[in-house]
Amino acid sequence: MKKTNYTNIVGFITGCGLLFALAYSLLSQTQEQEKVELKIQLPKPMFIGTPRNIKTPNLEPVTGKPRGPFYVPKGTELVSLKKPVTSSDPQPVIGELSYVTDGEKSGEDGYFVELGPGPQWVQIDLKAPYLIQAIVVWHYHSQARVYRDVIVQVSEDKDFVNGVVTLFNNDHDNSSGLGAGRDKEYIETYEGKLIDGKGTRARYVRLWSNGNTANDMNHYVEVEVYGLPVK
Amino acid sequence: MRKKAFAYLFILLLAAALFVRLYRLDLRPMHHDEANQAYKFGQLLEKGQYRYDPADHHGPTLYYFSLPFAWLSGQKTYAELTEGTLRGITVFFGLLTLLVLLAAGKYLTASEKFWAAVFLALSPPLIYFSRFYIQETLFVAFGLAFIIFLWRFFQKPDYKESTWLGISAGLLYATKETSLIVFATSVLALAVVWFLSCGKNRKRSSHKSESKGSQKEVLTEIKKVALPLALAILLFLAISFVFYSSFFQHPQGFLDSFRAFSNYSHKAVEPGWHRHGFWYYFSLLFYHKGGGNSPVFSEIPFLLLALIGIILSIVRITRKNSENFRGYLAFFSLFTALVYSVIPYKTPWNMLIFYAGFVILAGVGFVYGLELIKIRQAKIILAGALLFWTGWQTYLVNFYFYSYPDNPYVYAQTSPDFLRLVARVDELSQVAEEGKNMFIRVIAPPDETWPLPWYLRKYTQVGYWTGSEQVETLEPGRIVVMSAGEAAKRSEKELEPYITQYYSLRPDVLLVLLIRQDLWESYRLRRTGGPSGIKGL
Repeated sequence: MKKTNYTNIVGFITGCGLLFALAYSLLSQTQEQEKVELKIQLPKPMFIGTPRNIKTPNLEPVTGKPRGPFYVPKGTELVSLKKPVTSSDPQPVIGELSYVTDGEKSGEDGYFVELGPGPQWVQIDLKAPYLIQAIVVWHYHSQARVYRDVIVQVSEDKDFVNGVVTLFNNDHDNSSGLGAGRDKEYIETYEGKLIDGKGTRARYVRLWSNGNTANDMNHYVEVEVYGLPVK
Repeated sequence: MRKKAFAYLFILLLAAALFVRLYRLDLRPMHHDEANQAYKFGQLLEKGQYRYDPADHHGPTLYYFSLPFAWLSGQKTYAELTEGTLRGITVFFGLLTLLVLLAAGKYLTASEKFWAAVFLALSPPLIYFSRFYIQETLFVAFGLAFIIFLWRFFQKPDYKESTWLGISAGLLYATKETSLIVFATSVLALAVVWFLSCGKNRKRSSHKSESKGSQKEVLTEIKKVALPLALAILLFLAISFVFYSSFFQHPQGFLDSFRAFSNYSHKAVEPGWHRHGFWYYFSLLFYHKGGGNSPVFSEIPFLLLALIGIILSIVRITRKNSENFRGYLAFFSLFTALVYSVIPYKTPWNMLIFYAGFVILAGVGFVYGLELIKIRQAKIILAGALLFWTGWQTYLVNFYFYSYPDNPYVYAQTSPDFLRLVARVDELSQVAEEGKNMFIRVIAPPDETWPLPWYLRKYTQVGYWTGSEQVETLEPGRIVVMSAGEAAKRSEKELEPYITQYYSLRPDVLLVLLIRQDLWESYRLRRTGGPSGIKGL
């Protein structure tokens, strides 16, 4: 029987180990070399001369398509016309609170009411409970604007303490303090913003906003509430 | 006015002018044009690169004179620049305009110079554009220097005057190629004044015999003028060449500056967005009232005084030509106003060059008014009322309606609301792991992009696409800024993972900020002091 030469085995294993270590280090170096930061050449901004100083009396809707039909139960009627309006800002800077329900929806000066800066609300008393099917609101539509933190709530409690239902809320960061909403912001157009009333029973409608993209003020040209009388 | 008193009052005036120009210099959001100029200057500052573009942006003095200001502020890159540094340059040239007025020397009385300087120092539109990083304030400073030194050279055509004339003409041309208008109207004004003055001379000497040696005298005069004039022209060409060639790096730039004439002439008559009627500039200055409860903006007191100054200056043109500087200034201002009003292309800052002339003439008119009034108290009340009016207007124009369209000088101005977008992006970058290296996609046409490149200058991974069709997918952008028009082209499904927020870039121009839900949730958690949050972000 041949005698085992341990020295050779140890030498062989050590050699293999060294070779493996060398190969590994080379390989990892190669891998490291291959891992270079990917530098993407991003497009640079393009130059153009002084842009348009825009003042458009009638603005086309920016998002293009007109609103599609909205279906409501038969017998639904406009229930907010000439109904009393109150507000968190009882003495508006421009216009009067009655403009909110006077039926005039023109975008020109003299048809909107301006409330102070920060979160403000207007509230319409429908004088009786209704099953609310739709609320359409025109804040200001002679300029492309977006009103911030638009929240529409309905209730049978005039103080909005009990039984408050929020129909629309796009206050994403809860800056108005009524809870964060997930509805999208929208650009004001002559069509107004239609909010689904979902047949909620309510007598009072309260609409919040918190300034807009043009200034910190809050405006209303008109609010229309459509509902079915409660039998 | 005694020399010492004049010096003290003038220093006091400079201090007041400096204060009113420097106060809250970063109040107004950067205008599209300012951001464009800042970007161009950033390239020069960082890489030493500048090449004259005959299509736009005018001459290079603004950028080269900005360099020492940036160096002194210790700012070496575009990202390090601030509004204060950039607008500090135009503030400096606004003050230089007042000092240039002193060069009028004996051609205006000390009182006229003083009151003209007061009105220049406190003029609402001049202050407004002194706080605006575009060429206009430099153009007014060099323009005023040019018209004064042209007059001085005309009076005394020696080498000293021709040197100043050449330098001011060179700097004026290197600031804006459209200075050709100023060259033309000032020479025309000079010719008209000379002609009127000669007319008076002829009337006086018509009864005397004609001088036999007059032709010889004219020839001697021409010889005397020729060499100094050649020096002025040489200096003009040399300075223009140095600037337009980017300090000899691109000699072609100098020739391009002449080629730009056809471009600017085309722009002048086919102004596109900037076509305005003949009376546009005067309507801005006379009476302007925005909607709702907007106050009245008006320069009527100064326009009336300027009218008095103009009439007096023209009526008082004498046969002694050295006394006719006021008349020359009046004709220059009128001719320049006429040319700028005839050109259909109009932006409010273009009127500064002739309005500065009117303001100086208002000083002349005011001094005349003071001379007429014999009661000291009445003089004080008049001066006080005028200063109160201009102070009130300065406040409205520069510190209250600084960015709102009610202000007549606000033109295509970035809305203050835009700064909310910038702040929101900044807050989000504090939440994102990549910080300022986060990828931001901007998809908007160029006229709806600026001043974003200024406000996003500290972000390293910002890409600008001019149209939605250039971007197949919004991924991997966790923050996407789009013009409202481009956003409307994306499908609802694609926008679904994003929170959509709108911000006003300018009146009627909205930008959409898309924030991916995961980033938004991290932000909200941090804002409300959630598990790993920091309150008060």
